[in-house]
Amino acid sequence: MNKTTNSNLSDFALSIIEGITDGLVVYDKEWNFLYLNDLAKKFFPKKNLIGKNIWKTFPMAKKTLVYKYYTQSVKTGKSISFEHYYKRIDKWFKVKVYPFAKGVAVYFEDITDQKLAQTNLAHSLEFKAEASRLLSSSLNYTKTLESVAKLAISEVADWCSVDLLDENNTPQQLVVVHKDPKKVKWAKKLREKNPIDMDASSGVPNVLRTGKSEFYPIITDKMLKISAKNEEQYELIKKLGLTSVIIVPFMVHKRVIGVMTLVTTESKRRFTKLDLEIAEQLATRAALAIENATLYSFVEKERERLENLIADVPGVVWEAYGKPDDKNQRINFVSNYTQIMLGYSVDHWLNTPNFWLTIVHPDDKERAAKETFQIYKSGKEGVSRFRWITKGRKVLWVEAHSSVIKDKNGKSIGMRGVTMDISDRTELEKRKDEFISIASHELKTPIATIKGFTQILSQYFSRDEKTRYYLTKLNSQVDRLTGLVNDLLDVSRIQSGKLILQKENFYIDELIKDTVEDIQTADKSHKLFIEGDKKIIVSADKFRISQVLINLISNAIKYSPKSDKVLIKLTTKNNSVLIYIRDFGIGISKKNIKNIFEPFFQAENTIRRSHAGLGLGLHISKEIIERHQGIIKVQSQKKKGSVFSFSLPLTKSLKNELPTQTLNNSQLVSLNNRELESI
Amino acid sequence: MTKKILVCDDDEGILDIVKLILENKNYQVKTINSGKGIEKKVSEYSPDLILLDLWIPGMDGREITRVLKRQPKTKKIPIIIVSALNETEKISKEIGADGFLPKPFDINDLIKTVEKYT
Repeated sequence: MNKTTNSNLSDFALSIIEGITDGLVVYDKEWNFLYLNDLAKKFFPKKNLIGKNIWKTFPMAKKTLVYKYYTQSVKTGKSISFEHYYKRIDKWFKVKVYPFAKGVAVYFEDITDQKLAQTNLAHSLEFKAEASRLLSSSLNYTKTLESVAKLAISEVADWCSVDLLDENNTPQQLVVVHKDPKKVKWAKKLREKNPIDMDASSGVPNVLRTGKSEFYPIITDKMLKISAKNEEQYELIKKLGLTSVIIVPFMVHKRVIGVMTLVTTESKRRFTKLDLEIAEQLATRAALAIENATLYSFVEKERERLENLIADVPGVVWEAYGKPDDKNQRINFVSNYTQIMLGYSVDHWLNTPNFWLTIVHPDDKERAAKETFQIYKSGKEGVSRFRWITKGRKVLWVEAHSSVIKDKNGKSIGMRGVTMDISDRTELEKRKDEFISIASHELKTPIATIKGFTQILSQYFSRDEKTRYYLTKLNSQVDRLTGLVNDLLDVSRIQSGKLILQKENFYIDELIKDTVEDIQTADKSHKLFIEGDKKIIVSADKFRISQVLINLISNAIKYSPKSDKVLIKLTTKNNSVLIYIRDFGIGISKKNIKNIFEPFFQAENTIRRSHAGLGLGLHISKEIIERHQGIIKVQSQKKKGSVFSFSLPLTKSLKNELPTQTLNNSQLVSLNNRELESI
Repeated sequence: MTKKILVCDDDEGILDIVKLILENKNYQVKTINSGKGIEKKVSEYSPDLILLDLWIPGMDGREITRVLKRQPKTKKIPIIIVSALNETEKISKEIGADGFLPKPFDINDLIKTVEKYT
């Protein structure tokens, strides 16, 4: 190789070496600097090192591993490789030492990022585990976030702050932490003086807006200048010595509810991608924790509100699961009012199976249990009245309003309701009933005398037709008066639920025949026609059914002054007997038909004067029929007439003898005009 | 033989009516307006039928019925409750009376009822 080629070759090699991304330093045998490439020159604070002895120039290096490895490599003549942190320049290098005949060549590969990532990873895993624990430990999210932020500053960052959006969508700095409490104060003041500019195109406002994280591994002076609003602010932030920043959003259902900002300053630590990832994960978990805490606090507040509401109810509010019997029922809730009303504690209720029934008056026990079970079975709401005996042995009349709790398939699984003390009301009702009972007795006694004497006069002492005619009129007015007194008494009973039926088995067709004959004897204006089946046995209150028949037939006569007939039809369908009463009178308008069974109702105000009565008849009839588990209906056409119909269940013994047809309730209402004509 | 009827009611009008009608039908009628000492009167008079009001001073109609139906001497005498109470039928059956007639009554029903039990 000639000198030129040698020289050319050396130039060529040199250019390669200058271009490589690693640092290269060559020493001679005496440890004097022979060569540094451009990159390597940057590592050293001193210039013009060529010819200088490394250990004399950097005496501190002799105390490090560098010296050990360098000398070892020269001694053994073997290349050696090690990793080392150069504190002065805050860098990790992979150092490769190659001894050769004239000296030693050393390569420096910058591995700072990998090294940081490694240490971060180890830290991060620990950090994540701890953060998770903190986030799930408490429902007070401010406290939790503060703990997480404190964890962040002990492990990853120098500063950590959390901003959450308030109800006005304005970020509120909830947490700001730093190891030095003085600095926290300072940061808070800074924030007060410089509120977040929501229009800023980067930083917290941008993350709040976009829901995307921001990551600045290194904050340059240029960046500070751009972001600062003015010189003063720039100086302030510069003083803070920002190195690296991560801003991550808290997302709940794709909505940003806040941000977490992680900042490094004096530690000069630079965040890596891994830090960002961890911060994002942490933010996701924190957002979830905030959401849970918010929901929980909402639920708690609602629960408190409802509890206060229930506490104010002047009655025992309760909830129980299972069938309402002592084997299955589990009382789930009972309000504190039980203590006031009954003297028994809530615990007493909860610890005694079917407690409510154990304190029911012995005379009411069977009925109360039955009624309650029926409500449970029906799956509907219901009311039951019975007496409760308090701890102090006082008897209270109570009214239990219950509703049924169902599972998603509609099956009854429990009951809830409120049971109220109605003793005062019951007492009042009792007095009212007594009064009405006495009043009606006292009214009827002189009526009885009037009626008796009227009849005596008519039958024994009247010799002329005219006198007898007037006395008959008088007698029928006395009967009307009796009817009115009875109606008032009946309504009073219906209202207090005391209309008691005296059921017996009898032939309904015969009752109809007898009733019709009685009416026909007294009234000759209309011919009454009966049509239908014979020997139909029903189990009912004969007197009450007769009362309904009299009412409906009298109405039919009363409201068809221009007609001369009323039709009565009797049929059986499956388990029911149906009775129709049809007139050809004035009919009922559509407007009035829906109120016709209401008490004190008469179809037309104008009619009120021409048709006497209290308007209680149909109401009483409806109650009587419904008490018999029957249905009463009306169908009418103005100026053509009306059909009143009612059904009664047939006695069970007869069921088998009847043709099995499905009874449709609507058959009663859907009687069309043709059927109406055909009756 | 003339049948004897005892009528117990505190309403003088009712007593007059019943007496008038039944005497007209050839019954022998004795009336009392209180329940006081009724046992004695019943055993002395030994009626074929008693018409009894429920609300009467002295002794209540229910009590009278119970007492009379307990005594061997009087328990076979039919008792008809004649009352303006709406529960007349129910009460009559409960206390073991033989029949009932609600007030106000039709005089023909009174005659029919009395004839039925004598």
